[in-house]
Amino acid sequence: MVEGSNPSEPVKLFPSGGNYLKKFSVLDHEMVPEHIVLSEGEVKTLLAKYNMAKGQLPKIKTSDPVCREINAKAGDVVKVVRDSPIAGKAVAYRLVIEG
Amino acid sequence: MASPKRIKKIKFGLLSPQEIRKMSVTKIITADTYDDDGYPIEMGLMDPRLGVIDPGLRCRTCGGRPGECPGHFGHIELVAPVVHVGFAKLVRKILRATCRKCGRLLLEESIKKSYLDQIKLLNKLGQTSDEIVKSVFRDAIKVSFCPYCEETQRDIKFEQPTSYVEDGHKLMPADIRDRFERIPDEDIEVFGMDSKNARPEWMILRVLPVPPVTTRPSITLESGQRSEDDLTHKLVDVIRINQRFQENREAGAPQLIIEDLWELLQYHVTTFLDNEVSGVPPARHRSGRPLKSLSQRLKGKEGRFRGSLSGKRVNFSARTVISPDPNLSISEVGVPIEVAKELTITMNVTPRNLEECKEYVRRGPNNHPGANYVKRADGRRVKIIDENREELAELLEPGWKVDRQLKDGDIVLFNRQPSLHRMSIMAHEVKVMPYKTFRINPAVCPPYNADFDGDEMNLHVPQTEEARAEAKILMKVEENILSPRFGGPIIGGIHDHISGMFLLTRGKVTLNKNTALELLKKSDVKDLPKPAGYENGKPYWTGKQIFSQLLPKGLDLTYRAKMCENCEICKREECEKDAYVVIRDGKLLCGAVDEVAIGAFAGQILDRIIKEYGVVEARKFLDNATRLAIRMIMRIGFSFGIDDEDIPREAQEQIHDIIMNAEDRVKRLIEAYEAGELDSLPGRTLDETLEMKIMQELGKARNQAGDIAGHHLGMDNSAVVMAISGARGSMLNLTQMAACVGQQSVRGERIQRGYSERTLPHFDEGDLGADAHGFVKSSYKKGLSPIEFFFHAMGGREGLVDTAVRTSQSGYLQRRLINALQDLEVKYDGTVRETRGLIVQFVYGDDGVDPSKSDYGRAVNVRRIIQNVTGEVMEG
Repeated sequence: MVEGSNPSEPVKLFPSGGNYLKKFSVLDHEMVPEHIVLSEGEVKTLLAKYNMAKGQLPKIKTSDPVCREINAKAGDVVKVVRDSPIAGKAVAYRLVIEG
Repeated sequence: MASPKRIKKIKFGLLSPQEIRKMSVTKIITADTYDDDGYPIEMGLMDPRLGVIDPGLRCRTCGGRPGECPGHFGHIELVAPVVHVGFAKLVRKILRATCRKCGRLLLEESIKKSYLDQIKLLNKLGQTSDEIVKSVFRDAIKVSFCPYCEETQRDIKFEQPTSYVEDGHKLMPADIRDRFERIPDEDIEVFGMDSKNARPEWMILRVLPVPPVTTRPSITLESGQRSEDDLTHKLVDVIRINQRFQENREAGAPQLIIEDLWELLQYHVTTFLDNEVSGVPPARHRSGRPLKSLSQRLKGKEGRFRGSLSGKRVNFSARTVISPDPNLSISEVGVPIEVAKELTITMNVTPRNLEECKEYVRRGPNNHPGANYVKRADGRRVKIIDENREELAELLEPGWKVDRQLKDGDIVLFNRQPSLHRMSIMAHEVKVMPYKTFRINPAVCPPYNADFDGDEMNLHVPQTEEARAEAKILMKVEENILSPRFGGPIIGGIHDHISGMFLLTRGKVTLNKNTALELLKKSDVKDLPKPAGYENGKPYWTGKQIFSQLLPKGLDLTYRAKMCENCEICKREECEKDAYVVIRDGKLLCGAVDEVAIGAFAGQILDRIIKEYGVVEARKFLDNATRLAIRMIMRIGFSFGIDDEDIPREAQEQIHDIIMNAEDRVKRLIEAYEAGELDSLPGRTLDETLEMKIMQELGKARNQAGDIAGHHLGMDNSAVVMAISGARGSMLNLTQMAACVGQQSVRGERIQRGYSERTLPHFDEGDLGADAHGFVKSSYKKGLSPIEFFFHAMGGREGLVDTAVRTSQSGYLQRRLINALQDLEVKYDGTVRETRGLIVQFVYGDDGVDPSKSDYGRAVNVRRIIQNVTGEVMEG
């Protein structure tokens, strides 16, 4: 038993309380690709380039850890830049949706 | 044209008695079908209001002709309710989960509420609520007192297939129905059912829908007798018993008789719906053949779904055994003349082809490139027979159509199942031939995965100009030489093609003029190069020169052949094994042509020709090269016999010594192990270490034995030629035949299984020696001892089981992948989208490269570009 602790009280592993999650950012992980929120103008050119509606983009949820980190809201379009063994850089876009 | 409509939703539910009556056009009361004059009886099973099947008549309900009228349902009012077999299991579950008195679900309000909420949530999310429903039943069945009316629940036994017994009393369907009617709507939702569309009491039939006559058409036999469908027979039985039941009940028959009749009615309704229920003897036809029920029409491989909707039979196709013909081009297929006479292509007669069409018609159906049918301008089809062919040919005029027989040069699709990749169906040119098999060039076996041990293949004839054009452009064999899987050739020389080419091009093969011309006779090459030299005043040519005649001018290539041993210092052009291949300006300067040059899946030369000279050139090269190789191997004579595995006595003794030594060392290892002197390797237990060391020792022995055998088997041995050139087999196979078969393994280990502590009773318990655990010292030539043979069979069996398991598993995996990906498409802007236009990939494969147009998966071959620009040839 930890000295001075009350057995009925759970032992706190992180003394700073609930805030300890803030210390880690998923974006720092080497397997997480770069995510950038596009401006409205950029979204327009993107949709024009592929001749499509916003809804035809692949989706990403607002509850996605990356979305929370970069503060993307439903309706935003996120640009994802991945390292690809065959193409060097692979660019994809995702529409942020509620969830 | 009607605009396409989108299906918004599909609703599943049970038919209520009211619904059945509402959709019915008539009540059926008589079991008779036709009267004495052959007219259908009203309110009988063939009532004219149920639809029409006889040509010329019109439907009394909708006025449609046969083909237009879809048919209409009737109904039979059952005198007593019966259980629907399809729901028998669910009926039991609901009976057990509801109160026998008040009909409510045997769960307390709060528990019921929480289950209901969960189900509603799952439905909203579009997920299945099966798991929750399962636990509802599981919980409710355990309850023995109704929480609402405190009634004691009795145990309900279910007797296959449709009877329920409560405490020794049989529950009649009518009782069950009464109970189900008491269940409140809210409780039904907890069973995962929709109370508006599926009340449980509807699972007990009071009214039986009678399917329209179009579902059960009767056939008129040649004798004029009518033969009814199985379903009609069954319905006759149902109506008869129904009537008898009613008569008996009205006459006040004893309960026992009533119950018997009730049972019988249940039996007939059950076998009408499903004649394969376990516990019920199948209803039989008079001839003793079991009747085909509704459920059998739908179920299984030949049922409606898998047999008639997902897959159908097609016209304009043929199937027969395949056999090889190396003289055909790879893009041809030999078609038996009998097949060619049967399959046709429709020609539209125009002023320009009138004479040609007339000639076909004039030849008639029995004179091979003839015609079988003509279609007149008014659409009438006339069969051509010997009696009318001259007459029809005269009448022929533009606007008519002629069904012309298949002839040489027509394009057809050729297919072998299982069609796992797109190369399983390719377009070939027809070559009409005698005898009864399809003939193909053995070089196209790899894409079809075909051999000639009795394989059958299918042939389809495209019927429109568009289809033929598409087949020619996309599906011709030459268009598929390059595999979309890895961007290299999948069609190439096999077996004898490779051996033959190897024998021709390796070292310095000299050929006199006659031989050289004979070799090239079947190819397109019509002249010889300058002789390589003169012997006794006569010119001679080398094999390399002859092969070079097939290569396109300007081809430059350098690579290492299959037999290259990756020496520390490569001698390049001076390689004494001829393993360094150099081609300059279409001349083979050094090196031997082998599997790496022209083989399927490898083919360096082939690959380069396709990519630089196009597929047609590649096909011509392959045709010529395979023919040349076959000629060469036939000239030399190439065979393999048991004496080719012979090695000299002293070599045998050497091999024997090596194996004895290895066994000795194994023995010493075991002694060291038993004495506790063996040190374990890092990360291994002592036992594992011993096993590894023994395996190593025995493996080494086998290799040494193989080397010795290899020493005594030279290039004059056919098996060595095949192994070195890559045509078939390996040096390991040869070693096993000539020297020593080696360690047999199960699960990657020496054989351990069998009796306790030993593999066979011939050995001592705990014997760790080589021969006790499956080391085979004999060669296949020498023959295996009984014990060796047994171990060998164990290892062999494992291999067989592995392949069987692998094929079934990978087949299913591939099916699932295809089902998931089949509708994806690469659009013109390079994106991959599914049918709704939703983007899956922004650039196909992230790099936009078509693998079949790529160079082994790479978009560009930098070396080749440098070579083309600077003229400097780089190796590789």
